Amino acid sequence: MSRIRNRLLRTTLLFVAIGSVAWTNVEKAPSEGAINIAVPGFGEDGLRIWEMRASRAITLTDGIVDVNDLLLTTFSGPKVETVLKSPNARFRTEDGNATSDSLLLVSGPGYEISGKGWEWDANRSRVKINANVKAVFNEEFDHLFK
Amino acid sequence: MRLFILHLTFIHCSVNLSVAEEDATRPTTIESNTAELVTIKGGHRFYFSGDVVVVGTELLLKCDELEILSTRESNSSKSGTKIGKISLMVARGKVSIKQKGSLGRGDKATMQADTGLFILVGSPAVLVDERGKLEGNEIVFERGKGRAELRGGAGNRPRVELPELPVLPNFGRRSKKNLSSQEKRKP
Repeated sequence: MSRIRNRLLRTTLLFVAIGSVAWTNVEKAPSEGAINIAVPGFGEDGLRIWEMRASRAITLTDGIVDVNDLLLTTFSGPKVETVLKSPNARFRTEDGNATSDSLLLVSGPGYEISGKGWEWDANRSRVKINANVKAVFNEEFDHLFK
Repeated sequence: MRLFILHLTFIHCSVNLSVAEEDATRPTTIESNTAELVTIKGGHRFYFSGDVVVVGTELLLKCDELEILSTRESNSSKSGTKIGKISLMVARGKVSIKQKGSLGRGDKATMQADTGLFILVGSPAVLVDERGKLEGNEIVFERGKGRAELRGGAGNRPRVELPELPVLPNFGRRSKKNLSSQEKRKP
C-alpha cells in the first residue's frame, strides 16, 4: 500500500514539476514556452529515479502541458532502466497521464519497442502503443519442440 | 612451411569466428497492431495484440495475443548492469508455430523458462513433423529432453499418427517353402 502511495506521490511530483517549470517559463516567454527543460525526480532515499527532458514545454489550460522532443529516462539505482523517446506529447498533469499521436521508441533491459501513437498512465506504470508495433528482444526461442 | 602455418592460423581464426557467431544470441522480433508495456516489481510485462507475428531463429509464431514477462537479472560482468530475461511467454488465439520442420497449432501456447516446459493447448492441439502427427487437448514438451506428453480430454482421446512403416519381408505370412514343409510333416 505504501509502495502505491509512494508511486502516486512521485508521479504527482513529476507532473507538478513539469507544470511549474513550464508555467514559470511561459510567463517569461509566453509565445515559446519553456526551452530545453530537464526535470529530475528523486526517490525517498534521495536517488534520482527518473528524468524528463524536452526541447520545449508549453502550458495550456487545466494543467495540460505540450512538450516537444520528449526524452523520459527511468533509473534503477544508478543504472538507466528505461528510455522513452517521442517527438511530441501532451501531459495532463491533473490526471497523471500523457498521450501522443507521434512515434514512440522505448528501450529497456534486453528489449526495444517502437510504434505510433501512445498513452502513458503514470499511476499504473503503463505505456500503451496504439499502432504499428515492432519489438525486438535480445533472446532466442529455439528448440520449442525438442 | 610458413605458408602452411599461416594457413592453419587462418583456419583456426575462421573456426573461432564461426563458433562466436553461433554463440551470439540472435534477436527475436515481434510485430503487432497494439501493445502494452507495464513496469512491475522486478521486471516488465508486455501485451501484444492483433495479428501478432514473432520471427526468431528458425521460428515463425502467429497468434491473436501474446503476453511476455521479462524479469531483471544482474549481469555477471563487472559492469553490473541489469539485463532482461524472458521468464514466461503465453500466446493466445489461433496459435500457429513453425520451427525446424515442425508445425504446431492450437488455441494457447505457454513457454515457461524456469521449468523448460512448452505447452500447446487446443481443441485440438496439433503437432506435425517428420516423425508423425500428434493430436490431443494438450501437448507438453520438455525442452532439451526430447520428450512430449500427449493428453486428451473428456470424450476426446489423444491420437498419434506415425509415418508409414517400412515393409518387412514375410512379416505375418508364411513362405511357400515353410508352408510345404509344414504340410509334409502332417500325418
